[in-house]
Amino acid sequence: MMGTSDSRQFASIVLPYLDEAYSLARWLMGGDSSAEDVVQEAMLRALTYFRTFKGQNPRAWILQIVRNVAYATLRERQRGPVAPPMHRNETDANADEQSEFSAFVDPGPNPETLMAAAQQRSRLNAALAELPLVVRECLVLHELHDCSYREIASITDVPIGTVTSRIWRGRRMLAKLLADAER
Amino acid sequence: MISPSMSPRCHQMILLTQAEIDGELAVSEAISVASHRANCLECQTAYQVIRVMRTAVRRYAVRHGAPPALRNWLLAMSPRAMPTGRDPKEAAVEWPHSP
Repeated sequence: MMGTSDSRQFASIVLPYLDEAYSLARWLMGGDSSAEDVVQEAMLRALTYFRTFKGQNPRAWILQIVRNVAYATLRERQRGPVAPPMHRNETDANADEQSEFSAFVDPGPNPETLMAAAQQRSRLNAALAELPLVVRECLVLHELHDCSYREIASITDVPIGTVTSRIWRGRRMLAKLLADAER
Repeated sequence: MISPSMSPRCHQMILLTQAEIDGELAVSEAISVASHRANCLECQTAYQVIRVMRTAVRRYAVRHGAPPALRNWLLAMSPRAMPTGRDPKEAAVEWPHSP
């Protein structure tokens, strides 16, 4: 049972990162309700193991728990080894690699450029969602959560070299998906 | 065009280039990476891909916000943690938000 002080500290640590926790869960799981379930389960786990938390990097700690719960949920769903809900596999990135993609324009006040920006946003998010899970999580953690390579390695439990390779693969695959979408 | 069968040297340089753009590379290493890139078309292309994709994702990817119901659930889960009328400076440790 947690005391008042523990309980207060838990909330002070978790609440500032709730949006990040939810956003990561959304990017890993896809749907709204499953992301909420993942975050709820992650928070319960975090509360259970709060006494083991050393207090060094609360954000990475919380994101790691969210990530682990998301993987466990996906694994349960598929009743087998994690074969994430990917539309692409990593080898696709190596085939027919093209670096042709339109430059992302800075949207100005002009309606046409605003429309173009909305299309770019939509295409980009669709392409990001298509990346393999292990690639997508590295890219999302790096670009949206501003995690360093070292933090991502800690959260995903892989070497830093693997993190850098996955981020590179993710960027390459995104460029190709966006170029394909333009055609 | 980035060849799928790029040389191991270029592959290594591209990963270092990426680390440079992401602010993860030491200045001393950045010099040798820039020197290689100056003479390598493939690495120059990769440099552009990395920069554009980095900007695009940071600018356009959706950052989802937690639904109010989830926030309320968390607050309800640890009711004693809610700072009710206490001096906020006393109530919570300040943790840095991500930029």
